[in-house]
Amino acid sequence: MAMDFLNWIVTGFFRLLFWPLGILPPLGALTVISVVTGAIMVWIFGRVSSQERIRLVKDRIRGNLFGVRLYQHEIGVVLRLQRQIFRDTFTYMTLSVVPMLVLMIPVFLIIVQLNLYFGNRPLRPGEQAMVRVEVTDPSLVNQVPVSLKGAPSFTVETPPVHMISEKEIAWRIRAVQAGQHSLAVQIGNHQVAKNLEIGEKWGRVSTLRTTSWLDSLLYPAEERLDPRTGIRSIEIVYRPLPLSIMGLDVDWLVFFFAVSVVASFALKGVFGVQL
Amino acid sequence: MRTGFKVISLAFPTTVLMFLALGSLERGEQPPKKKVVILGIDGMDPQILKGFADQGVLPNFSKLMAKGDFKPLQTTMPPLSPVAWSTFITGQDPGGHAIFDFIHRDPKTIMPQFSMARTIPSDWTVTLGSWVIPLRGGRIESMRRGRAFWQLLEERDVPTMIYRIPSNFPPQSEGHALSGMGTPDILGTSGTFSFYSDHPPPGSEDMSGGQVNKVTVQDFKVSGQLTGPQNSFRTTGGNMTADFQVFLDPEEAVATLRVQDHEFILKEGEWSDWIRVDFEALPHVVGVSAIAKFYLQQVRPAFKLYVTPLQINPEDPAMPISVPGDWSAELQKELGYFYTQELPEETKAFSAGIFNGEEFWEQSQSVYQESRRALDYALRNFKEGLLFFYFSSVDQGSHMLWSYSDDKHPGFRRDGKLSKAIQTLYQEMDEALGRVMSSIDEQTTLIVMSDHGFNPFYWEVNLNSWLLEKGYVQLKDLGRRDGVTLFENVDWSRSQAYALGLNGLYVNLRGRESGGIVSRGAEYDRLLDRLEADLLAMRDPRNGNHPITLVVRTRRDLKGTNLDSAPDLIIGYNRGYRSSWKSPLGEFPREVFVDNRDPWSGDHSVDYRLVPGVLLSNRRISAEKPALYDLTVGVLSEFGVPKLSEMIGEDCLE
Ligand SMILES: [Zn+2]
Repeated sequence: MAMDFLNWIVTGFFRLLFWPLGILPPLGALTVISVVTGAIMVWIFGRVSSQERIRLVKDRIRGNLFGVRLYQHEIGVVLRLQRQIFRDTFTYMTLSVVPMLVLMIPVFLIIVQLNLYFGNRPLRPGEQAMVRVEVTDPSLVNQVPVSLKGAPSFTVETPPVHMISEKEIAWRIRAVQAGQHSLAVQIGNHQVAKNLEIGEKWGRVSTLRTTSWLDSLLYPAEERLDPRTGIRSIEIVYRPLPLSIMGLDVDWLVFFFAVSVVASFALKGVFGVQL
Repeated sequence: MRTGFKVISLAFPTTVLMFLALGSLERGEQPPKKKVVILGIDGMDPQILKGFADQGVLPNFSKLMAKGDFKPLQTTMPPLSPVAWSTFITGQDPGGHAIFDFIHRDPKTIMPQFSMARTIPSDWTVTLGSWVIPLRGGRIESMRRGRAFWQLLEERDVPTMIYRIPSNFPPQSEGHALSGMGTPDILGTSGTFSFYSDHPPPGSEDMSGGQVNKVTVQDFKVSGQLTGPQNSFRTTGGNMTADFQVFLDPEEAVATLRVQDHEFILKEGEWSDWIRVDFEALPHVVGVSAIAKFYLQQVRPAFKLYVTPLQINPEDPAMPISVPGDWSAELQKELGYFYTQELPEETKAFSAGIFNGEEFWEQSQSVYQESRRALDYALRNFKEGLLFFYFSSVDQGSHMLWSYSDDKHPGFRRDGKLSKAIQTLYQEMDEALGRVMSSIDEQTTLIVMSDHGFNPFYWEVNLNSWLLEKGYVQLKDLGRRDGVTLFENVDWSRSQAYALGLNGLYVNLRGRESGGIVSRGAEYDRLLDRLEADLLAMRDPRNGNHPITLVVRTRRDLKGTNLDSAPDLIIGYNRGYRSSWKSPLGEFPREVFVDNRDPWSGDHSVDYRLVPGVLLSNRRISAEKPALYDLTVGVLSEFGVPKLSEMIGEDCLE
């Protein structure tokens, strides 16, 4: 439950954040977020790492490297210095690993949120998509009536395909009206809602609503499902949001990492942080 | 730093000024950019075109005929697409460009070979365990000789865009080109579909053009495998495969298909979009990418799933299908996936009885729609120079749907909608022509042309059986005539001639054919004299017709000298006749003349005088009887480029 609350807070925060960013093209918005993330990361790193010890170790490595070049003809000295450099490198790594691990938590939360915006794009009006409902028990597949509701925002193009072996029921729908809609799955006496995003632009797209709290960490946009309905998850298969720089396709995650790392290095001086 | 800045601050305005100066120079001295648009419509027939135009259903063609000019366009002998297009491309006859048929043969083995391109395997490999790693790639070579006319334009910096012209694989160009007829599917064939069923049709194990797979439906689930190309990285050989599953709804006629990481739902009778399928040769290192469409023909009582031939993926082409190499990927981005195989209309599944006429029509219309979208793209991006754009729909439709509108055909089929199919295909061309006419200016030269026209195909001629009857061929075992292919039953030590390909007839020549018995010189000439006389005297006993009206002697009648793979005679059939299906690949059925009941009911591999193509232009056509090789020179002269000495035509446009 604490997890759900955290999800709710973080998701809400990002919705606020994307409200002004939504006017930018997706790559512009992603650049802004990546730079800001880089800045925040380098700042946090400065707070949670022992900056003094990092500086000391790095200075000593630098000094000893200089020594190796100076005494390159005296094998004994060089070997001793190299041992020291090796030890110091290890120390340096342990000094940065712990703060890195700390940083991974916010980075993970950010990535999960960004995936909602940059992973997929809303369905275009007229476009087809598959809706998959996974149930908790195979008997539910063919013994309980299941249907999709939500017209006129979309039309259901096929009868449900009941896949007992997969514990799954699936339909093909076609998007009709742009907007943030709700698709309803009727199973027996229960009705379960799922977001459906249709539009020409980019924006937040929630592909999965699930009972599993582990999955809900990765797909935090919608409230977790109540397992008593018999539905384990509802998925809408969207298409990936295409991103390209000068005609070259880029993966949003790679782009995010590259830009935020560059930003951290560029801004470490501004925050007076040793990396 | 500071000097650097100074240089930049000076360089910038200087460059701008230079560009402005250059720009004004160019504007001042260059003549207006020449533009030529050619619509190449395979198989468009002048009489059929005129018939529909007279009925008033082709407004744009009628307008072009009235304001410009229209004449039949002499085709080649034989009037087959690879041959005729090669003549247009090079301005030479078949003796010059060396394409004489769809099929040639290796004189040593008498085994048929594709005429347009061949693969040269990698000659430098290392073997690691069961893996063979090529250190130098194999390559594919076009068999067409002679320079393409657009290459002469490119030399003079004329921009060119050549969309799917036949006999241009791998594409030869310095501009933009996408290959057409001659381009294989991912298996290296001219298109092999797959069909999956729990009740495969009888005798389908060795179906030509398709691979039929028996599958089982178990717990409403079907598991199948797509067969990819041979894994040349494995010493053990074998084909690469990709698994797929189909989940059937227990009651409704609907199913979910799972192909690698794609999942989609089809109702009975529905087609999927293009699905990307990746085959791995060296796991995670080397693979081959393909695309395919799935057609859920029937869910029950019998499960029937058709999969298109696996296409070379334009996004990630395994073979060179475009120039520049990434142009096909650019097209894919702009237009979505598209058929890349030659002649994608599914004639084979229709002939094999896997498709009915309606299904063929639907599939071939989807091919047409893809081309039509590409035409819009080409016109949007055409600024100057030459644009050639190719349509296959009229040719393929006239082949497969002729019998629906011809009640004299032995295979005549009554069908309200399909009886109008050929007219619809011509009307679609009219609409495309209208689109072209509205997008060009007065100065642009517009040419609409076809490689040949059309005839009905009523009767098959088993030319090899006729040669046997006349004693030109002897069999080892006269009792074994059915099902023996590829001349396996021929006694070469007593045979003087054989027919191979649609129009080719070869002499069993000493020193060329490995079992040759006919000597060069007088014996050869006497044999050809006798053959020519006998062929022209041939009669169909059922109606008294002469099935053959023309015999061309390649070494006497052709101008070009690339005759190594040329047949000795090229046979011109009379209207209604054509080579049978079995004879071209070395079979000897008992009957010489057979009624053709195959859906493939129209054809053009006849006497070339019976099937001229069309030539329309907004310029006046100056030649009395223009031929394909004249048009080559005509297009060059539109750009002021002189013809090459080996080009045999004369300028035919004013
Ligand atoms: Zn044809």
